[in-house]
Order: sequence, then structure tokens, then C-alpha cells
Amino acid sequence: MQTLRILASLVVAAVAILAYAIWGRAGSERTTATTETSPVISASRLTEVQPVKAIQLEYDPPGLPPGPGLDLFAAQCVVCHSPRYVLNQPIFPRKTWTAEVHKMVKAYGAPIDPSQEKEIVNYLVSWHGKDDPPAIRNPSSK
Amino acid sequence: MEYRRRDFFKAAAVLGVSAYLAACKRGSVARTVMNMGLPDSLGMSPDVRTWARYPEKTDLIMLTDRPPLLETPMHYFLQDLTPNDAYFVRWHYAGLPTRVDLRTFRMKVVGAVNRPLELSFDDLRSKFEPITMTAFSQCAGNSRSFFRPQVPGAQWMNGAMGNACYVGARLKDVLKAAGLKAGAVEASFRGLDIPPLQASPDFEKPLTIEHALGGDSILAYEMNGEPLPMLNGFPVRLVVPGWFATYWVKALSQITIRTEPLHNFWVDTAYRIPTTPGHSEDPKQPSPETIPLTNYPTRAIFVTPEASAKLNRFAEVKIEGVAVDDGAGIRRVEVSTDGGRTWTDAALDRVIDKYSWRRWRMSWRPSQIGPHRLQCRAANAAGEAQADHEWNHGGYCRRTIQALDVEVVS
Repeated sequence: MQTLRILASLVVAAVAILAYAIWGRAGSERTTATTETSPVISASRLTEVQPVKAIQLEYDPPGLPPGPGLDLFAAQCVVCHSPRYVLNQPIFPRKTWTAEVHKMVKAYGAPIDPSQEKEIVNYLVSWHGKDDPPAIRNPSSK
Repeated sequence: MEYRRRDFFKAAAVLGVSAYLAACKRGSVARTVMNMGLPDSLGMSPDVRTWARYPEKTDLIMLTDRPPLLETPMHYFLQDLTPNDAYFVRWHYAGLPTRVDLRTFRMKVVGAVNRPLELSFDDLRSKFEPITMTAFSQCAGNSRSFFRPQVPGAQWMNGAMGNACYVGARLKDVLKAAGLKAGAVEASFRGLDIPPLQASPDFEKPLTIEHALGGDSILAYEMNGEPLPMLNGFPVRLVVPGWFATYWVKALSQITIRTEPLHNFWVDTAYRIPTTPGHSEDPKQPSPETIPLTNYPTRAIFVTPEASAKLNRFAEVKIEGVAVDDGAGIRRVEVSTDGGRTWTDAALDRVIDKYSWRRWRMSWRPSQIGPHRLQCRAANAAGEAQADHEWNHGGYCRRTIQALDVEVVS
């Protein structure tokens, strides 16, 4: 009886070790293709494609705060892109906005003359910017 | 100043709601809701998140409306493949294609070739061996909003990425069909999008001829079993697996074989990173030397929980994420739940495909109430690991170990 019990527990232990070897170890590398969150999207080469695809884009520009430079901004900037290009940015200092506006001229060929550039920068700083920190920097600050 | 901005946002929120109502009436696209102060926006860098529904798309986080920059919410990354309608969108120019007639559409191969080609959509599908490939793509500026100091550019969180199964023709097969002339050094790629001004540079990106002929790039005409969404590059998109999505030219219309390297704004000025070690530079003294960014750095990203999540003490938290690299293969992902003091190996899911992301998961049972900083880091088969800190002026190629702050409550 005693021997039988020992034998039985040995068999149980062996099965457990075997099960771990097969399942447990593979577990970390094993496929989780069976996870409930992973539906398989099949790729088919037989997809029927309609000859014409067309979409209609409707945009949703934000309102612009009033102030000097609004008209210029609306004419020179919004002609190419939404004001959200400004809204999506952090509250940058004047220096950054100056560089950004100049990039529109230099890289993208926006026909904005230097005095207009300044006016646009002023407008941007007035509602989505801040003035540059003082020129004298504390060398210990990060 | 602060008050004025608030007022403006309030006004904008009202506008957003009215636009939403108007859109509902018309049954059309521009559905926008400003969700100020809602829990969903907690821990995100912009204090306002706008949602929009564009054609063939579900509700996505809208960075800008024209041209559309749409970010995928994190929960879509709990699946191996990112659904087409949730896949992120990024166009440089508002003059993106909105109508394509496949009866007249031709993808041209021109320049230093023996036989210039004009391939129809059906030519691409029927005359070249179809290749199926699951590949990860990511905007070069994905996660830009997490750089400090902050840098200008689209302020993406971590959702300017996705994993999709493509079918397409090998780029090299198409180039061989055209027959390259001696002296070819680059193949450059253009799409149907049109610059807004005469003076604006066409969006065109080059690959070296070695990469074009030797790499695994395909001209994809199918994405997750369907034609591509218009906003993701219908009818044909160049897939450059392992490389940033700036090379994955959408609505591909022309391949030019060049005997001189292409120089334009997109090559010479934009999408460049410093040559310094780890491509990191000092914000006070940016590196004068830069190179075009190319392949994905190795990186792990949390998918769940999300930032600022409230977790219950003693309850099991299923931590899940994705890890990406340039195709060498993710070998290890470790997670820290104590701000980087100790690290535990996460379980890696099966390899989906060479250039796919690899998913990983871990179970955690928090025992301490209070704020916790979760971190995850990956290493790939080439031995590439992640950086503790980095910065570059363009906010590109983020590879910093992610830190995610969550709150454990009783």
C-alpha cells in the first residue's frame, strides 16, 4: 500500500515535470495566436477592386483668435495648411516661431516678405507663444 | 495671456461641438469633439485632444485637419494587425489624392532604364509575383511630444505607428523589368500628392540602388486583405520594411532611376539626425553633421496600461506592449515596475513576420499604494538596446526607454 502511494506520487510528479517541459517552458516563447484579442485578418489576392475610388474631405479648421496679424496669417499661412498646425504645437518662444515661419519661406517657398514674417510671428506669439527668455543665461541652469 | 488662451479653447470647443452636429446632419466626415479635462486626455502632453472621423477611417486622434494628421489610439495595438480604418495618417501636403481611377492610373518607371514602364494596377497584380509580408511602420516623428526640450513638428504621442499585412510586387522585380542602365545610383519615389505652391518641393524620397535591388521593399496594393484606404496610399504604396514610413511613399506614381543622387528639401534638410553616438545631441549645441534617418531603432512601447491609469492594489494587471526593430529580430523585453531599480523579463509572443512588431506581455500584482513608474526596454538579435536619454533637434527616431506613470489605489 505504502509502495503504491509512493509510486503514484512519483508518477504524478513525472507527469507534472513533463507537462512543464512541454507547456511551461515554451510558454514564454509560445505563440499567442490564440489570444482573444488577435483576430486574423486574412490577406487575399482576389480582392475585387472598384475601378474608381473617391473620397470627399471636409475639414474642420479651428476658430482663430482676433488680433493684429490675423488677416495676414489667414491669407499667407492658412492657404496651405490648417491653423491646427499651430495649435498642435507647444507654447514655443518667439525664437522658435521665427524659425518656423522662416522655414515656410525658405523650404516651402511661401511668398511672405520679411516684414510680413515679423507680423505673423507676433500674431503667433500673441496666442500660442511666449517671449524669449532673457539673453543672459544662468550657466548652472539646465 | 493664459486666460485668453482658455477662452479661445472654450470657443473652439463650442465650434467643435457645432461642427460635430453639422457633420451628423450631413452624415459626413468632420466629426470633432474637444475633450478637455476628460480622463482620456490625462497624462498626454497636449491639454486638448481632438477626435475626427475621415473617409474610410474610424475616430482617430486628430493632430491637424488639413492636411490630415491622424493618430491611432493605443488600444488598437492590442491586436497583431492594426485595422485599416484605425491606421495612422500623415500627409505633408493638403493636395493629397482624393480620387483615383484605376482605368487610367499608371505607375511609371522612368530615368536611367532601358524600358520605361507605365504599369496599371492590374499589371502590378498580375505581371509580378505577389509577395505577402507583415510589416511595421512608424512615422519618423512618432513619440515626438515626449522629447524635452520640446521640438517643433507634429506632436505625436506613441500612436503614429501600426502593423499591417501587405501584398505587393517586389520593387526589385519591377526595376528588373525596366532594366537599369549602367551608372544608376538611386531610385526615387513620388506619389500623387501635389505641393500647395509652385515653389514648394515635390515630396520625393530616394533609396540607393543597392537597397532598391537588394532589399525587401514591395509595391503594396493590398493592406490587411483589402485595397489600401485612400488616406494610407491607395492604390499602391511603397513598403520599405524596417525603415521609417517617410520612405513608404503613398499613392506611388513614379519611380525615377537616377545617375546622380536626388537633392531636395526632404533629403537635404528634413528627416535628418545627428551623426553623433546614438544620434543624440545637446540642445544647446546641436551637431552640425547630420545624415538622413533610415531604419527603426530597437524599442519597446507599452500598450496597456495607459499613462495615468488607476490600478487596484493586489489585483492582477496585464501589462502588454509591442517591441520593434529593423528586422534583426526582437530577442528580449524587460519591464520595471519600480522606476528602473529591478527588471523582469516579459513573455514574448510568437514572431509574426521578420519586419513585424513583436508583442509581449507580463502580469503584475501591485502591492503598494501610490504612484508607480513603469518602464520597458527591448534588445534585438543584433545586440541593439535602448537609450536612457536622448535628444535630437527634429524629434526623430525615438529610442529612449519609455517611462509610464500609473497610480495604484486601494
